[in-house]
Amino acid sequence: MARGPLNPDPRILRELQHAARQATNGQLVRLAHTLDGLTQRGVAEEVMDAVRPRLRHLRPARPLNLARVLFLPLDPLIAAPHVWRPGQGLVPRSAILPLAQHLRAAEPTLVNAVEARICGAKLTDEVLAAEQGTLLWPAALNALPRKPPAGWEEAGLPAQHFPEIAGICATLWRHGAVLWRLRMAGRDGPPEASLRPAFRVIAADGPDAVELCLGALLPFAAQPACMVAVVAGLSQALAPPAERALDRYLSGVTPGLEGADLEAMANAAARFARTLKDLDSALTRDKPKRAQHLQALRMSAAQCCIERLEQEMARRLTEPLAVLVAAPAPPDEAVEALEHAAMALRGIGDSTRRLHASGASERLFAPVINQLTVLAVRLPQSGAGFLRADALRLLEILAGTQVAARLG
Amino acid sequence: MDLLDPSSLDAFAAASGKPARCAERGVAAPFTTPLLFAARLRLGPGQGIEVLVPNPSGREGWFVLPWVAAREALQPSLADQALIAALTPLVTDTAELQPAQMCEAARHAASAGLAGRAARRAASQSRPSGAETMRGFAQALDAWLITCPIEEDRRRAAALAVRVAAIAAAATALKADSARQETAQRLAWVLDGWVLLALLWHFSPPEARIAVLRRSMALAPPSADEMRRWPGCGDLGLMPEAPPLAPQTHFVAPAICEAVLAEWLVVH
Repeated sequence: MARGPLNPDPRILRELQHAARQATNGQLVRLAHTLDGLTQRGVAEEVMDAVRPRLRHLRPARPLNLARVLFLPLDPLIAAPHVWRPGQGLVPRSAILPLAQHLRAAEPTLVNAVEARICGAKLTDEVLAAEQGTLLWPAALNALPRKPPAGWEEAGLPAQHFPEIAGICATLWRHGAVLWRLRMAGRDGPPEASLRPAFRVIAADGPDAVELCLGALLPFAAQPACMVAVVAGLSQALAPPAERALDRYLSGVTPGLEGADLEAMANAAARFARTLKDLDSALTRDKPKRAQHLQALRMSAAQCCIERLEQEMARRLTEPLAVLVAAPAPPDEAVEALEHAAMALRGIGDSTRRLHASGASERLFAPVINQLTVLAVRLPQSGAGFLRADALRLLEILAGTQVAARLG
Repeated sequence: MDLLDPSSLDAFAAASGKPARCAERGVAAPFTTPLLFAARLRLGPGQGIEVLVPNPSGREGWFVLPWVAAREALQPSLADQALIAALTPLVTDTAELQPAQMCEAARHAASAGLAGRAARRAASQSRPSGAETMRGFAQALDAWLITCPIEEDRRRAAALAVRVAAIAAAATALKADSARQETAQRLAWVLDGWVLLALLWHFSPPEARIAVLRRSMALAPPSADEMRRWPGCGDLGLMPEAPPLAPQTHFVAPAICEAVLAEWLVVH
């Protein structure tokens, strides 16, 4: 196959991916912004594949465009072209452009209207994305061609895989609106009362549709195992596809804690610990592999947390604390920044304990807790400096209210 | 925040959902512990402070706990303990707890710094704007409910918006005559608890809005019968039907409650 904008030299691609991995968070956000400005994003997407977990935490404001709105319901089912294999219920990212261009040619009036409406908007505008998506998804379903659209093979996609990929898109576009509502159902996840009627409708399309739709929802669910149990409980026929969707979700789930800033990591670690707790309910005697996999995930996430605590404890907590204690009049903002760092570190420590019951993280907190215990007695109650109340608050954050109250 | 085991409160009495008098309803406290946030306080028999907390099972109703029991069960923060310590001498010789006493105690406690530097700064500021805050809250709820993906929560938001609009209207009517001490007290009672909910909504991140809405429905102070006889307050009895609540597993972080406290001190 000829090298070109859509098929770069693998060596050059690897070098670009390596450079992206080495970039700082700020550089990465700028890179994402620059690549978003390209009209042909084929290679850009492959470069960004190398840093997607970091981008998820950094959450750069990505512009809304036709392809992003069109493929929102399929988000978790999009795979990097080099890892995509047929029969896995996934869509290669390289299929996005030809399918979006096909819709543009088939429905120019609608596409122009949608593009005018989303011009300048960001992906974070979920209301606008859903509003325009509900216009695009049924249109894309109706316009879906029977044979590969223009640009398919140029994107490196074999024609024989078109029916499978088109089938996945059709299912997700057909149920796009309801899936979007379930996905946006807040931190506690979609309530059973919404989940049941939605999946009764999806089930009418067959077990494969249930498996695909669950696969598209599970990464956003607060309690994925509970969601699977609800769907599996709708009818006997739905239990196997629901279990397959859960297995597939489990095989792809990762802690994804690398690269995030401290607060984002604390939130991600807490969410991951809650998800694993929910997934424990999916452990049955006939699923020993799940237990092994969950245990491995738990250990790897806990290790990631411990390493982060080791890296950040001095830089974000003990060193700034020493500076503030020595300052004659530390600014409120500096004291508040220290408290935020303490909360994030404590959050990571708590998640470490939930993930893997060991005292490793507590040992890392012990020296600073001892230091604060001394400061809480020694520092003045009033004045312009770092005060007793400031030390007590840090102690409360790091060691708990009861420990702080004994000195308060 | 971990879910409180509802059975741990079963030993305590339930409060009336339709109090006759404001003092019976209690005064909302700007607590910084999420489980205690906007819980109401009143003087119980023997002048001990009682805490009214919404039923954590999600069912309608409030539990009444002596403060000592609440301290054991709900583990209030140092700042919350300081608030009660500041409030106790203020109510020693009074028959009823008033919103003004809560405000005074909260300022005193915040000035000690245990609720953070923002609250300490706010303790010496005051730009009363309760009615405007409520109007903004009603508008924010109206705008948000259009975007809410869950039908039940849309209905909850609509019901809450109706109640908030009634509070805003009553506060505006009372504010016109708030130079009189009696009217100023009535204004404080009408707004009591609601400003905390408005600020909670304001400071919560978008992804927490559904949880905050559900918690706000549980925390919404019932209107006392006596309020509805005050000029401009006839609509306070509006209680639009809303779907029942489920138990909540997540709410907001203590840092959000502290941000609410700091702003609450300013707008009072």
